[in-house]
Amino acid sequence: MSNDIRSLFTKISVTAFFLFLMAAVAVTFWQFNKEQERLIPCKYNELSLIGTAYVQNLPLDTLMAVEKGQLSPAELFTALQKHTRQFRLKYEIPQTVNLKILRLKDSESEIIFDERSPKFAAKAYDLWLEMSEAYKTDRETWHFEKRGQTARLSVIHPLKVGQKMTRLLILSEEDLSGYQASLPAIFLPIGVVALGAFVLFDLILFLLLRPLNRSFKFVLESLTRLRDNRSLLKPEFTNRYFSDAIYLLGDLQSRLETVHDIEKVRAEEQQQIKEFLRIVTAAAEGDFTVKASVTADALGALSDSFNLMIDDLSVLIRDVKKAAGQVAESTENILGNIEEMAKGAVDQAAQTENITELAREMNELISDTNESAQKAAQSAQEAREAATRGSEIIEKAINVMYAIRDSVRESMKQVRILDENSARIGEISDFIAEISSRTNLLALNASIEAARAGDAGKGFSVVADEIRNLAERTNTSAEEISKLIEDIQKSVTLTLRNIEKGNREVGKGTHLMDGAGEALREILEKVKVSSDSATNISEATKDQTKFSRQITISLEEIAGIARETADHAQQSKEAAARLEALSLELNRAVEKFKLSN
Amino acid sequence: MQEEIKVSVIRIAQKLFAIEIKYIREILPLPKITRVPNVDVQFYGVFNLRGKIIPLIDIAPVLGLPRQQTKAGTFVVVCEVNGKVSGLLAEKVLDMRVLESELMQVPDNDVDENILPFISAVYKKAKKEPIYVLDMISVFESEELNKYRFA
Repeated sequence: MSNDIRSLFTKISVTAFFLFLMAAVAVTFWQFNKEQERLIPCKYNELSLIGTAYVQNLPLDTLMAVEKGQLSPAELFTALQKHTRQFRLKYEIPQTVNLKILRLKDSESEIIFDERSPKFAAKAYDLWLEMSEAYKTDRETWHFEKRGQTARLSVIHPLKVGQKMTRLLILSEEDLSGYQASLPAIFLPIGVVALGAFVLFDLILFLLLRPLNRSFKFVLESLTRLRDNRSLLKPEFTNRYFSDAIYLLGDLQSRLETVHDIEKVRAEEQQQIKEFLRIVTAAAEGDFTVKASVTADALGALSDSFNLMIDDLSVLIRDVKKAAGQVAESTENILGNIEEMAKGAVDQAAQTENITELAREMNELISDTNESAQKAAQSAQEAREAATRGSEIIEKAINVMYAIRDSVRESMKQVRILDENSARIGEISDFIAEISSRTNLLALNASIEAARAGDAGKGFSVVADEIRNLAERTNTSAEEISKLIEDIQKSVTLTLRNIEKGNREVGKGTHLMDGAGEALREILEKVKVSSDSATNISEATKDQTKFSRQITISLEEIAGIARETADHAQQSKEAAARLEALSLELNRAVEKFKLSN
Repeated sequence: MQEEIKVSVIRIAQKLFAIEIKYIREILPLPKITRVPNVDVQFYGVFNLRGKIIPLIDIAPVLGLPRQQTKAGTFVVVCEVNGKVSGLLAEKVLDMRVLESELMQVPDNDVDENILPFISAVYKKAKKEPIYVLDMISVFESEELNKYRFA
């Protein structure tokens, strides 16, 4: 059994046990009372008889004496005591019965006689309604009183003396508790019965609870499985209890699955959000190289937008970086320029000092120049004369050159004629050589013919031989001539070449002469120019003196401006330094952004 | 052998050959040659000598020597042997001289075997080039020269 069912069972059992117990006890008491009440009529009869008998047995005159006060209570007691005892013996009245005689008063009753002891006499006693009733109606009444353990049944007999009712009552009492069975005795059977009933009840309860327990266990198991997200078992028995619940478990499972899925989805989303958060944090710290992963859901759209934003920002910051860099560069440049400017201004001031000095020197130089110019004019004049003489000489030289060239040309012509003639001679000698070879051949043929003629041709062969000799000699001479002609031609060619060379030299010489002449002419011109310049110079120097004075004045103005420029440069420098600081800040601010390049 | 022979010394393919005068008709410088197609290499062509058509023969290939060129200075030696008239191509005609028969030797082993059938003797003067004396009859009766002859 599961714990809950067991505890329930236990509780029910315990409760039932106590209920049964209480029922048993109640029944016991009830039985007890019933018995008591059963006893009452029985004992009433008895007591009534006893009382009646007693009444009849009583010595009335004794009683009357008491009434009148003639007898003391103590005497009454002894008298009655004996009487009563006798009565008792006679009728075998049990000891439990107690007889009393009471006097009825208004608000109470007084014990006249109690058989137990005399000390009860004159003691007050209860007044019961039954007493009054008995007195009034002259009928016996009874009173049952339960006080603690005692259950007293009192039968009240009125006493009539003669025909007169007295205020005396006779009480016959008995404690019925003796007759009763003790409570435990009553209780025992009842208790056993109750116990049996209890056991039966428990058994029935157990049997009833078992299927309940099974169902409950099944439900518990299913719930545990649901909690652990396992599949549910199928009920293998027909559950009478919780069948609806079990039926609902199936729905619950699907619900839980849905919930589980939703949770998973949510967990994923959370993860994605965390991831996204990480990226965003990185971006917030300046790392723009991160890229959020784009998925198909709303978060993905967010990531996409975020990426776009980062890209735009990257671009922006890149531009800013670039601009910052450029600004830094420009500021550097500006600073550099300003430095230079300041330096320049200082230089300028220094330079103007120099220039003033120089101006003074210039003045001196001017006067020197004037002197020099005059001297120059004089020298120019002398140079001019010299140049004129020189050009005349050159003219003469040129003429000589031309004469040489003409004579050379003449000799060249002659030499060429010589060359031609010697060529002609060569030709002729070649012709002679050929003739001689032919003649030789002819002589050879002649000798052949002569040989063939035999004896008859002997003389002819001699002639042929002579012809051959002649031809040979001619040949030799022709060869000599040819050789000589060759030599002549060679010399002629050499001579021609030399003459041409000489011609060329002469030409060059003439050229040079011309050049010299040109140069001299130029010199003449230049000299003229120079002497003119000398005159100009001396005039100019006069103007120069005037101008130099003006220069000095201007220089002083320049010095003033230079000083102002230096001041302005200083101011600009300060401004540029501030600008540089700003650009450094800008660069520093932008540096922390990491861009994906 | 006779005591002395009158020969004309010619140069064919850098070798000196001697032709007996009795076989020589005429010596002339190279005339205009009319080439004849489809003939052997030794036949150079024909030429007109005062109205007669005479074949021009280069015997250098016959003698196993390299062919001669027809340069300007080459000569033709018109020979008549046994009634057959032909011109022999020669590079140069040196001269006409008389060879002593004492210096004429029988051709021995160091003569090229192609030349051997066509020479009758070798003339060796001291320190001079040997002159091969051509046997004109064997030349003119050789098969090579008579290839195109009929009748």
